[in-house]
Amino acid sequence: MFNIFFYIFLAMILTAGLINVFSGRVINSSISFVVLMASIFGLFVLLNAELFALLGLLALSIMFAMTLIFSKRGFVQEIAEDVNDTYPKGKQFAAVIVLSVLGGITASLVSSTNWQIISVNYAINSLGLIFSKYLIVIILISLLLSAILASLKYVLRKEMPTE
Amino acid sequence: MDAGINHFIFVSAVIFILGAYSAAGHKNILRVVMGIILMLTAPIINFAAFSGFRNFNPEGQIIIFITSGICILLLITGCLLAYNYFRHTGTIEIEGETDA
Repeated sequence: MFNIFFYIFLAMILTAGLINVFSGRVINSSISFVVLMASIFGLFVLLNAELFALLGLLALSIMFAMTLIFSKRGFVQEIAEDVNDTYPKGKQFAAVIVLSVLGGITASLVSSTNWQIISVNYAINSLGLIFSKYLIVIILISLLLSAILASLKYVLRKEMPTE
Repeated sequence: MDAGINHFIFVSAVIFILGAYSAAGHKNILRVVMGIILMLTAPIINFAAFSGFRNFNPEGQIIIFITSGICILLLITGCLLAYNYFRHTGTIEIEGETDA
Protein backbone atom coordinates (compact mmCIF):
# COMPACT_ATOMS: atom_id res chain seq x y z
CA MET A 1 0.00 0.00 0.00
CA PHE A 2 2.90 2.36 0.80
CA ASN A 3 4.42 1.77 -2.63
CA ILE A 4 1.11 2.22 -4.44
CA PHE A 5 0.45 5.56 -2.78
CA PHE A 6 4.05 6.65 -3.33
CA TYR A 7 3.87 6.02 -7.07
CA ILE A 8 0.44 7.69 -7.30
CA PHE A 9 1.81 10.81 -5.59
CA LEU A 10 4.96 10.64 -7.74
CA ALA A 11 2.86 10.62 -10.92
CA MET A 12 0.79 13.52 -9.63
CA ILE A 13 3.92 15.50 -8.72
CA LEU A 14 5.54 14.95 -12.12
CA THR A 15 2.37 15.80 -14.05
CA ALA A 16 1.50 18.87 -12.01
CA GLY A 17 5.11 20.05 -11.98
CA LEU A 18 5.45 19.85 -15.75
CA ILE A 19 2.11 21.66 -16.21
CA ASN A 20 3.21 24.26 -13.67
CA VAL A 21 6.44 25.00 -15.49
CA PHE A 22 5.47 24.67 -19.16
CA SER A 23 1.86 25.89 -19.14
CA GLY A 24 1.24 29.03 -21.15
CA ARG A 25 -1.48 30.42 -18.91
CA VAL A 26 -0.79 31.56 -15.38
CA ILE A 27 -4.14 30.33 -14.07
CA ASN A 28 -3.34 26.75 -15.20
CA SER A 29 0.05 27.11 -13.59
CA SER A 30 -1.52 28.24 -10.30
CA ILE A 31 -4.04 25.38 -10.25
CA SER A 32 -1.32 22.83 -10.98
CA PHE A 33 0.76 24.39 -8.19
CA VAL A 34 -2.06 23.63 -5.74
CA VAL A 35 -2.21 20.01 -6.97
CA LEU A 36 1.57 19.78 -6.73
CA MET A 37 1.64 21.03 -3.14
CA ALA A 38 -1.22 18.68 -2.19
CA SER A 39 0.76 15.75 -3.63
CA ILE A 40 3.85 16.81 -1.70
CA PHE A 41 1.79 16.92 1.50
CA GLY A 42 0.60 13.41 0.59
CA LEU A 43 4.23 12.34 0.61
CA PHE A 44 4.52 13.93 4.07
CA VAL A 45 1.65 11.73 5.26
CA LEU A 46 3.49 8.67 3.94
CA LEU A 47 6.58 9.77 5.89
CA ASN A 48 4.75 10.03 9.25
CA ALA A 49 4.66 13.84 9.20
CA GLU A 50 0.88 14.22 9.22
CA LEU A 51 0.89 17.34 11.37
CA PHE A 52 2.98 19.32 8.91
CA ALA A 53 0.92 18.06 5.98
CA LEU A 54 -2.25 19.28 7.70
CA LEU A 55 -0.71 22.62 8.62
CA GLY A 56 0.58 23.09 5.11
CA LEU A 57 -2.77 22.34 3.52
CA LEU A 58 -4.50 24.74 5.91
CA ALA A 59 -1.99 27.52 5.20
CA LEU A 60 -2.22 26.95 1.44
CA SER A 61 -6.02 27.07 1.42
CA ILE A 62 -6.12 30.15 3.68
CA MET A 63 -3.55 31.92 1.49
CA PHE A 64 -5.51 31.28 -1.71
CA ALA A 65 -8.78 32.33 -0.06
CA MET A 66 -7.22 35.56 1.22
CA THR A 67 -5.74 36.27 -2.21
CA LEU A 68 -9.10 35.82 -3.92
CA ILE A 69 -11.09 37.72 -1.28
CA PHE A 70 -8.89 40.73 -0.66
CA SER A 71 -7.28 41.29 -4.04
CA LYS A 72 -8.67 43.75 -6.50
CA ARG A 73 -10.75 42.56 -9.43
CA GLY A 74 -8.08 43.50 -11.94
CA PHE A 75 -5.44 41.42 -10.17
CA VAL A 76 -7.42 38.21 -10.57
CA GLN A 77 -8.22 39.10 -14.18
CA GLU A 78 -4.54 39.70 -14.84
CA ILE A 79 -3.76 36.24 -13.49
CA ALA A 80 -6.55 34.63 -15.49
CA GLU A 81 -5.62 36.26 -18.78
CA ASP A 82 -3.26 34.79 -21.30
CA VAL A 83 0.11 36.35 -20.58
CA ASN A 84 3.07 35.63 -22.80
CA ASP A 85 5.71 35.77 -20.11
CA THR A 86 8.24 33.35 -21.52
CA TYR A 87 11.73 34.07 -22.71
CA PRO A 88 12.81 33.35 -26.32
CA LYS A 89 12.66 29.74 -27.48
CA GLY A 90 16.43 29.41 -27.85
CA LYS A 91 17.09 30.46 -24.28
CA GLN A 92 14.30 28.18 -23.06
CA PHE A 93 15.80 25.20 -24.92
CA ALA A 94 19.27 25.91 -23.56
CA ALA A 95 17.88 26.29 -20.03
CA VAL A 96 15.96 23.01 -20.30
CA ILE A 97 19.07 21.16 -21.55
CA VAL A 98 21.36 22.58 -18.85
CA LEU A 99 18.86 22.02 -16.04
CA SER A 100 18.07 18.49 -17.24
CA VAL A 101 21.76 17.55 -17.29
CA LEU A 102 22.36 19.09 -13.87
CA GLY A 103 19.22 17.47 -12.48
CA GLY A 104 20.12 14.07 -13.86
CA ILE A 105 23.65 14.22 -12.46
CA THR A 106 22.44 15.45 -9.05
CA ALA A 107 19.60 12.95 -8.79
CA SER A 108 21.74 10.00 -9.88
CA LEU A 109 24.60 10.90 -7.54
CA VAL A 110 22.40 11.53 -4.53
CA SER A 111 20.01 8.64 -5.04
CA SER A 112 22.78 6.10 -5.69
CA THR A 113 24.59 6.96 -2.47
CA ASN A 114 24.47 4.35 0.26
CA TRP A 115 23.18 6.48 3.12
CA GLN A 116 24.32 5.51 6.57
CA ILE A 117 21.72 4.72 9.20
CA ILE A 118 22.04 7.24 12.02
CA SER A 119 21.30 5.95 15.49
CA VAL A 120 19.37 8.52 17.49
CA ASN A 121 19.61 8.71 21.24
CA TYR A 122 16.04 9.59 22.19
CA ALA A 123 17.05 10.35 25.78
CA ILE A 124 19.06 13.29 24.49
CA ASN A 125 16.99 14.29 21.48
CA SER A 126 13.39 14.98 22.36
CA LEU A 127 10.85 17.69 21.70
CA GLY A 128 10.91 18.53 25.41
CA LEU A 129 14.31 20.13 24.89
CA ILE A 130 12.93 22.74 22.51
CA PHE A 131 12.99 25.43 25.20
CA SER A 132 16.44 24.54 26.53
CA LYS A 133 18.71 22.97 23.95
CA TYR A 134 16.93 24.50 20.97
CA LEU A 135 16.20 27.85 22.61
CA ILE A 136 18.49 29.65 20.15
CA VAL A 137 16.35 28.28 17.33
CA ILE A 138 13.23 29.74 18.93
CA ILE A 139 14.95 33.12 19.29
CA LEU A 140 16.07 33.07 15.66
CA ILE A 141 12.55 32.18 14.52
CA SER A 142 11.13 35.05 16.57
CA LEU A 143 13.59 37.49 15.01
CA LEU A 144 12.79 36.19 11.54
CA LEU A 145 9.05 36.47 12.17
CA SER A 146 9.43 40.03 13.41
CA ALA A 147 11.43 40.94 10.30
CA ILE A 148 8.81 39.37 8.04
CA LEU A 149 5.97 41.11 9.87
CA ALA A 150 7.79 44.44 9.59
CA SER A 151 8.25 43.91 5.87
CA LEU A 152 4.58 42.99 5.53
CA LYS A 153 3.59 46.19 7.29
CA TYR A 154 5.88 48.11 4.93
CA VAL A 155 4.31 46.42 1.93
CA LEU A 156 0.74 47.00 3.09
CA ARG A 157 1.24 50.63 4.07
CA LYS A 158 -1.17 53.19 2.74
CA GLU A 159 -0.10 55.07 -0.32
CA MET A 160 1.07 58.62 0.16
CA PRO A 161 -1.36 61.17 -1.22
CA THR A 162 -0.08 62.71 -4.41
CA GLU A 163 -0.93 66.12 -5.69
CA MET B 1 9.93 -1.89 -6.68
CA ASP B 2 9.84 -0.86 -3.05
CA ALA B 3 10.01 2.86 -2.42
CA GLY B 4 13.02 3.66 -0.27
CA ILE B 5 14.77 6.78 0.83
CA ASN B 6 16.53 7.12 -2.54
CA HIS B 7 13.17 7.43 -4.30
CA PHE B 8 12.18 10.34 -2.06
CA ILE B 9 15.54 12.01 -2.69
CA PHE B 10 14.98 11.61 -6.42
CA VAL B 11 11.53 13.23 -6.09
CA SER B 12 13.02 16.16 -4.18
CA ALA B 13 15.72 16.61 -6.85
CA VAL B 14 13.07 16.67 -9.58
CA ILE B 15 11.00 19.23 -7.67
CA PHE B 16 14.08 21.39 -7.11
CA ILE B 17 14.94 21.36 -10.82
CA LEU B 18 11.35 22.23 -11.79
CA GLY B 19 11.34 25.07 -9.27
CA ALA B 20 14.68 26.37 -10.53
CA TYR B 21 13.42 26.42 -14.09
CA SER B 22 10.15 28.05 -13.06
CA ALA B 23 11.98 30.76 -11.12
CA ALA B 24 14.64 31.43 -13.75
CA GLY B 25 12.72 30.98 -16.98
CA HIS B 26 9.67 33.18 -16.49
CA LYS B 27 9.01 36.88 -16.11
CA ASN B 28 5.68 36.55 -14.33
CA ILE B 29 6.17 37.38 -10.67
CA LEU B 30 3.68 34.73 -9.49
CA ARG B 31 5.57 32.03 -11.37
CA VAL B 32 8.85 33.21 -9.89
CA VAL B 33 7.34 33.01 -6.39
CA MET B 34 5.96 29.53 -7.10
CA GLY B 35 9.38 28.42 -8.33
CA ILE B 36 11.09 29.67 -5.19
CA ILE B 37 8.50 27.86 -3.07
CA LEU B 38 9.17 24.63 -4.96
CA MET B 39 12.92 25.07 -4.46
CA LEU B 40 12.29 25.49 -0.72
CA THR B 41 9.95 22.50 -0.58
CA ALA B 42 12.53 20.09 -2.02
CA PRO B 43 14.81 20.00 1.05
CA ILE B 44 11.74 19.66 3.30
CA ILE B 45 10.97 16.36 1.54
CA ASN B 46 14.56 15.28 2.18
CA PHE B 47 14.26 16.13 5.88
CA ALA B 48 10.94 14.30 6.10
CA ALA B 49 12.38 11.27 4.30
CA PHE B 50 15.44 11.01 6.51
CA SER B 51 13.28 11.59 9.57
CA GLY B 52 10.60 9.11 8.54
CA PHE B 53 12.98 6.35 7.57
CA ARG B 54 14.93 6.74 10.82
CA ASN B 55 12.17 5.80 13.24
CA PHE B 56 10.61 9.26 13.52
CA ASN B 57 13.71 11.28 14.30
CA PRO B 58 12.52 14.31 16.30
CA GLU B 59 15.32 16.59 15.09
CA GLY B 60 14.18 16.11 11.54
CA GLN B 61 10.61 16.97 12.57
CA ILE B 62 11.81 20.19 14.24
CA ILE B 63 13.70 21.20 11.09
CA ILE B 64 10.64 20.38 8.98
CA PHE B 65 8.50 22.57 11.24
CA ILE B 66 10.90 25.53 10.97
CA THR B 67 11.42 25.19 7.22
CA SER B 68 7.69 24.75 6.55
CA GLY B 69 6.95 27.92 8.52
CA ILE B 70 9.54 29.87 6.54
CA CYS B 71 8.17 28.43 3.30
CA ILE B 72 4.57 29.40 4.11
CA LEU B 73 5.59 32.89 5.24
CA LEU B 74 7.59 33.33 2.04
CA LEU B 75 4.56 32.25 0.03
CA ILE B 76 2.31 34.79 1.73
CA THR B 77 4.94 37.54 1.46
CA GLY B 78 5.49 36.78 -2.22
CA CYS B 79 1.78 36.96 -2.98
CA LEU B 80 1.49 40.27 -1.12
CA LEU B 81 4.52 41.63 -2.98
CA ALA B 82 2.99 40.53 -6.27
CA TYR B 83 -0.27 42.24 -5.38
CA ASN B 84 1.57 45.41 -4.34
CA TYR B 85 3.57 45.35 -7.58
CA PHE B 86 0.33 45.01 -9.53
CA ARG B 87 -1.25 47.90 -7.60
CA HIS B 88 1.59 50.23 -8.53
CA THR B 89 2.37 49.12 -12.08
CA GLY B 90 -0.89 47.57 -13.30
CA THR B 91 0.83 44.38 -14.43
CA ILE B 92 2.42 41.31 -12.86
CA GLU B 93 5.25 41.12 -15.38
CA ILE B 94 8.73 41.71 -14.02
CA GLU B 95 10.56 44.47 -15.86
CA GLY B 96 13.55 43.42 -17.88
CA GLU B 97 14.10 41.61 -21.12
CA THR B 98 10.99 41.98 -23.27
CA ASP B 99 11.96 40.33 -26.55
CA ALA B 100 9.75 37.30 -25.97
